[in-house]
Amino acid sequence: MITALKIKNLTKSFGSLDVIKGISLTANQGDVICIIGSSGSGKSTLLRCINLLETPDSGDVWVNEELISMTKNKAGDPCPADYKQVDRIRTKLAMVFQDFNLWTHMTVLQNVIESPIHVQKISKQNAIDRGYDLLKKVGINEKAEQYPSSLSGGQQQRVAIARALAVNPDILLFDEPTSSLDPELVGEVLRVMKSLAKEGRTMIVVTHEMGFAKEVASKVVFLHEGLIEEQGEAKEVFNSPKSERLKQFLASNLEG
Amino acid sequence: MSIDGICISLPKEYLGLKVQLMCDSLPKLLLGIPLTIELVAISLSIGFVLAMCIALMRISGSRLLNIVSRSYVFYFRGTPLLVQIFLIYYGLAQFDLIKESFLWPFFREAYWCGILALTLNTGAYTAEIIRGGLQSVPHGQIESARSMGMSGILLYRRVILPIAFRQALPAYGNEMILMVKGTSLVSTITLMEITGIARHIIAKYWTPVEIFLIAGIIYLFINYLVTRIVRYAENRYTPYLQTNE
Ligand SMILES: Nc1ncnc2c1ncn2[C@@H]1O[C@H](COP(=O)(O)OP(=O)(O)OP(=O)(O)O)[C@@H](O)[C@H]1O
Ligand SMILES: [Mg+2]
Repeated sequence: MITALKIKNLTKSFGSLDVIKGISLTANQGDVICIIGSSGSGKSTLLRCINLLETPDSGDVWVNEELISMTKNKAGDPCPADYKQVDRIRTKLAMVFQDFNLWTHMTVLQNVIESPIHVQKISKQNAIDRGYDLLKKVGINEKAEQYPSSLSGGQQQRVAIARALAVNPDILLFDEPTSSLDPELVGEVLRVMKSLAKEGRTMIVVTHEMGFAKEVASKVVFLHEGLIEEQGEAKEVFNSPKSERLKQFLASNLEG
Repeated sequence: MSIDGICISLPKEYLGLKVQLMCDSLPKLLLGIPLTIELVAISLSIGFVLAMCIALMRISGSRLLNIVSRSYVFYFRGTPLLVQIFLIYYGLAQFDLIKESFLWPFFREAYWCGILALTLNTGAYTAEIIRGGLQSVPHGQIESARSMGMSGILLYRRVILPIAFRQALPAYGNEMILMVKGTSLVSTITLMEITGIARHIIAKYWTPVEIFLIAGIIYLFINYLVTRIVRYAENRYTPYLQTNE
């Protein structure tokens, strides 16, 4: 079995602020890795370094055992060596954002078929057929012709998940997909995510939903100040945390 | 013929206004509409292309292009359109370089000087409108496009520009209306559009109130049409931004 995602010694700083201080992580096919940690610990940054929305300072990322090749620009800063490779790999790594980030000028269906048609050059009819299937899967097929702004947050996030699935990615990246939602809408999104996990999709999920992590994570990673403080199976991490910081974090996050 | 009939049947004066003269002048003033619309259409079209270039220069990252585009916008937004028209009409003729060049047949004529001034003027405003539109594109929507494998021209063509243009639509509608009104200034360099004809009639009969009243109504009518067109475009392209039906 090939490794879906491998990260080695990744670092990233913003100016003098070291945000990721050397992280290595491996995800096998079908793994659901939940990344937890307090605000500012670098969870989003780690996720964004994987699909190069942020350029790592150093370290390597392999997707399906293909190394994303990096080089240095004239100023000596790291940058991708081959932007075509980056675009190609990004469709293997679809991302779901906290604020949905649906394209407001397109209808729900247009959002879902955009990248398949224009990036992957799939025929329009195929893309539309697949688009409807995916919208059905997340339970929004009746809203296909509407604009995102007329949907609730939970519906928008489910559309965003359908859009991510439309490029047929090997790995799904989620950055706090339920944090912008009203509490009563969280469940519908988590349900979709659970069904994806059951299908055997490889997922990296930054989340504050400890219940979700407990239930579906094959591995839980606790990030603290840019380093992996503790990691392991969900049961181990939640039931018998070793580090003092994780204990504190769980104490303040599980009570709610 | 029929309008003559109507005019004669009207009272000669009403509320101190020379009604029959107004009625007689209406068809003459209407003859100015094609030129007014032509000036607006040509300068808006070329001005838009120009504005796109200026906006691209602004975001190109090149220091030189940035300074050129900033100075251009600064000058043409900061000086009155009338001054620009005069400078182009009277000023260009002072340069032997231009008088001897292939451009002279153009810039000898008030028509092309007017077009040039209007184009440069709207180009500056439109460049700012486009820049504002580009800046208003939510960063998150660009990131989600990137994360789906879009980049470069595709990213601009499918996501950034469509959103920017939609955001800029109301401001651009405003600019179109300003241009319709702006064309009245080229009457000062002998062009016979609506205001030019009005001034001509006034010089003959000395009835400024009557004639400008009619001219004003014609402008109002043209701008009413422009407003409807913009409104239609807004409903068509940004239904999600329209709250009132
Ligand atoms: N583009 C940026 N420029 C400068 N600093 C940044 C940038 N992005 C993130 N940071 C900083 O990096 C640190 C880690 O940010 P990050 O968003 O990765 O945290 P997080 O763990 O996702 O937190 P949260 O739970 O609040 O989302 C924070 O201190 C943040 O202010
Ligand atoms: Mg975050």
